[in-house]
Amino acid sequence: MTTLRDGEAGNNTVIVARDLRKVFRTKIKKEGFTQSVKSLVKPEYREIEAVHGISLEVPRGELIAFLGPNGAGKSTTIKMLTGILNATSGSMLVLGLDPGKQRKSLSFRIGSVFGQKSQLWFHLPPMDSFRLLGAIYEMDSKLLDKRIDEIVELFEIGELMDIPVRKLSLGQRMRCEFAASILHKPEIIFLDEPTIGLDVLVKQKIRELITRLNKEEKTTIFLTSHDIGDVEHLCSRAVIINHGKIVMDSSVKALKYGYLKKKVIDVKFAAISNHTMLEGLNILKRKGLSMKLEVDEGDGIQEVMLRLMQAGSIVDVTISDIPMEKIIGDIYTDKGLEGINSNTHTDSYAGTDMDTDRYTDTDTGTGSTTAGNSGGEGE
Amino acid sequence: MRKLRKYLLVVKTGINSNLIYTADFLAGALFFALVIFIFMQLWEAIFFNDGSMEGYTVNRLVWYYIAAEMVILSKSDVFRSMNEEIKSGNIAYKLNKPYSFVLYQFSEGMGQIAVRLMTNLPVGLLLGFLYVGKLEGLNISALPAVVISTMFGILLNFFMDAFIGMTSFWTEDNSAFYWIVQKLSFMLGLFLPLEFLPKIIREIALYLPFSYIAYAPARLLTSFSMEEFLSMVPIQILYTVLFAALSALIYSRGVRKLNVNGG
Repeated sequence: MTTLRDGEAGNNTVIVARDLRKVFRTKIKKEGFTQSVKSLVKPEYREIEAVHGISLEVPRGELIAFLGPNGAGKSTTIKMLTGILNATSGSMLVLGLDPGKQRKSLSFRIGSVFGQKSQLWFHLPPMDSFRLLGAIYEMDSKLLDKRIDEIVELFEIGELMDIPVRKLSLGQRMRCEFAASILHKPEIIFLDEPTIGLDVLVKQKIRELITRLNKEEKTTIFLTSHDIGDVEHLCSRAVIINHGKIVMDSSVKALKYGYLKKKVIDVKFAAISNHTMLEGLNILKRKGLSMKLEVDEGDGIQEVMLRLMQAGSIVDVTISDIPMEKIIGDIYTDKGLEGINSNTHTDSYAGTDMDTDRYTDTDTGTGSTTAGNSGGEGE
Repeated sequence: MRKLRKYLLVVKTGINSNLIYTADFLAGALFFALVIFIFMQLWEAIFFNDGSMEGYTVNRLVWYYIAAEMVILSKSDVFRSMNEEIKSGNIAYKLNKPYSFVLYQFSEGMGQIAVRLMTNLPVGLLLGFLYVGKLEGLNISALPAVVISTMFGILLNFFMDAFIGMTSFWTEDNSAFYWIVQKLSFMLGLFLPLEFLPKIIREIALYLPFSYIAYAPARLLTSFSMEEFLSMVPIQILYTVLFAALSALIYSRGVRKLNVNGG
């Protein structure tokens, strides 16, 4: 295991990870009684590689989204970066500290919110948990009072402070959870699925708070989410992982722009009189007289529209951007840029020339993440 | 100082959090009253209301049982909470804070125990007086010794539970261990004073930790002797320290192999 030295990646970098790997050993149990007995006497294990060589750098103040399907290795990576899990190999520095060895010192300077876990005492009002957390972070009591006032105002949770947590709605609770995690003014905050299960309005509120925190307190935000809306509205940079590897590391703008050069046309005919006009068009889906086509922006749209109008009488037509959700979904299923570049799927929206400013291919080992501030152009 | 303050505040928060369970308190008091009543009936039937065995009269046996049950009923939920936190992987989310996880659990457990003692003690005293009156031959000057022994009984119980709870770092189901320990402490000191057991079993029991949870304080309350105090309390302390050390050890080994599900 190589070790990184503080300052190696520049003073502006708060997270550096090099070739991070995590292997879990899971006991396997085959079915049947004899197998159960056998596994008692001689247990068998299978190794599962949850994180498979992740390298990345995060500059201070960045809002970075870590995306991936379930089991991609997102939470495992967060757990390694926060010192909860030790890496099997590779090296990392968070705020100049080694999370595996300096977990306690690091914990004073980072905060975390795990969407499905609570750090508030269930039966007590949030104020009690805030006071306890203040003591845990060894904050001076006057400073703590001041900080609580600040946060209560920022998060608009004044009226919730004396209601037992179990009586709060999920949205109210999440606001309090989030508030609790920044009491000690962390420099980096790790948010694992912060908007999971929340309704649209509360989601917006939480997103607003995340943006304010990033702007006003210059907090670096490291976020994992399934919600593409979170990424679109919040983040400047998106890192997409699947099967424990980074398949794309790009600015959110570049990610969208690459795909925005393409449009989707939904068209519905009353009748099709000239089928030859439809030949050669990139039809994604067709059902009776309705079809969905993909087309290049610019001249492509005009040409295709003309051909469609000549093909028959049109009842309805919609031209839209490719949804962000679809873009990300394609990146997962196409296993990275290989799939995107080859564009072999007729039922896929995947484009041909992704304009990304960063790309890591951990498989070949040729690509290395060159995080600078280039990702910061989004917000 | 600030380091100490955080654990004291955990104890305080633990007390606050447990004070809300009024229904629990009522159910607990009712259970306490019921089992003592049943045992009293049992001893009265055996002794025909007078006579004694190994120096225990019905009066002393009822008080013995109250003292022993006080320790057992005032235990914390540390076994269940450790077990659940480790199995569900939730423990991971408690590790990234600047505190010692074991001390945190200990402080939280002490908060719980304090609340349970505060409710069980008056209920126990009241039941004793109502059922059989004042303890016969009570030696007031022995009370500090009984308090010390009760304290170590509770601490020993806590660390044994914490230790067994943390075996779930390795085992998929450790409730059997817990069950065995519970039954052993029931048989070796709670249900019956050790004096009622065959000599050989009594002698073995005095080497094992189980009798030092409930038997030692209950024995010292009902038939105090300096000799027994000096032989039992040091062993209580020894076992408490041993299980505290084992808990710390199993925790540090467990965290190293922590295999949190998900990701």
